[in-house]
Amino acid sequence: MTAQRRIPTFAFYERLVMRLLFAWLVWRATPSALIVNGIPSPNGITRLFDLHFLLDPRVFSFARIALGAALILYVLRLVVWLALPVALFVNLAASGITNSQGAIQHAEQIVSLILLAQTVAHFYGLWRRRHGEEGVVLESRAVWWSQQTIVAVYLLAGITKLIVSKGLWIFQARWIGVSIAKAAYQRYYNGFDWEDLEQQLAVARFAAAHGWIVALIAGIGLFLELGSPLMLVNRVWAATLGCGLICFHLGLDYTMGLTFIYNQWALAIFMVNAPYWIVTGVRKVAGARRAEITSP
Amino acid sequence: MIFKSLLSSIRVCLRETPCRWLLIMTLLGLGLRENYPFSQFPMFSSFSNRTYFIHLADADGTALRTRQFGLSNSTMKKIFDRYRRAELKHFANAGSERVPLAEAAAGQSLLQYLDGLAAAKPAARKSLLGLQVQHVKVRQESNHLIFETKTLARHQ
Repeated sequence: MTAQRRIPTFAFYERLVMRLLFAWLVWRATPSALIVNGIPSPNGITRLFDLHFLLDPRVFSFARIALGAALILYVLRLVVWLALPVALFVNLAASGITNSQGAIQHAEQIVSLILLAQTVAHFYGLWRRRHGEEGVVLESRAVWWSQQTIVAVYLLAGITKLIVSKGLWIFQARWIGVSIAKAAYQRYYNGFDWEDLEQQLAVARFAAAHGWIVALIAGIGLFLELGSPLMLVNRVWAATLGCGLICFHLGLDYTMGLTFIYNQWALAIFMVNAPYWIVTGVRKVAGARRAEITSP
Repeated sequence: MIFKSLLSSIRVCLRETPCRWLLIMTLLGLGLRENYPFSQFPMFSSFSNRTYFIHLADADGTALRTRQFGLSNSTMKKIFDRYRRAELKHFANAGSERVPLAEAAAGQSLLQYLDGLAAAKPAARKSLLGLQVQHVKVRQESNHLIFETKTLARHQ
């Protein structure tokens, strides 16, 4: 079986919209300023390289400009061999520093991982091209690997739940009210939104009082995570489970204030892929009309 | 012999599967654990009937916005947890006093960390005098949520 047969193909307009939206996502997900106390607890890339030079605001401003330029080149498909590594370095370095403060966040990781996947896919594709692979596969592979990265993120989250809870996650979920209450107060102390606190505490009290209903809902979430590889079967599965996971995130946002907005955007861009469904729908309607006109 | 055939099976599997990147990313995530951008994504991977959070209060005990120090409350808690873990090791032989001693020391370390952040934020600097770290324990008992608050450390 050739690589072309294995890798799903994506039309030019799909790839363009994906590049445009993903570049915007990288720009948004990369910290715009570094308000930190040095690098007290190195994590990830900061363990490998001394990145203290980026703490100088002038150097970091230059890095942001370089990131912006790299993302424009990436969207236009110009000097991608340079644009992707530059964007990846700035993104990893800035996020690596903010994650080296003794507190690891998981909000932006999906964006960095997709960027890493696209960079590796590009260079692997260049190597494959030297062995006769068609150019269009190179771009489709970037999307295909991005989709696999998204699946890996959810699959890992599901596997970890089973490992850490020793398979008892759904059973333990009846205590989710305690976590909802904690998250509610943590959000409250960020901005003193009393209404938001009241609403979330009501959810927490409901969860504490009706633990098994909440465990059932949590079970659906776990099923979505462990079933995420189905998104790689075809476009229908990708869009259906992609929408399911977005709804799951919206539910978590409402009950626990956990937005994971970059996960939602990554799912919308690479899995739901609305442009494809819009274009396919329009083409079908146009085709049906044409058939109606031409039929005797 | 078995090892060799296992290796060759893995190689064939990797070569043939169209989802080899998924396999690689999953293994990297599990193997490299928390090393940005890799992670096992352990958020809410287990639940307990008790937990805690912390917040800041001024000298009079009135709650303060954590954001005024340039970080979110959950980030501040993770930083506190890091200090707490280190102090628990430090007070390993303190018997029943181990946890209170470790938490008080971690609270003081957190105040020092906030000192550093406040140096670049004039508005936050005003709040430092008498700043308190408050610890709130949340637990579930008979389908009800119970909250208990105590002060861990106070800025001198």
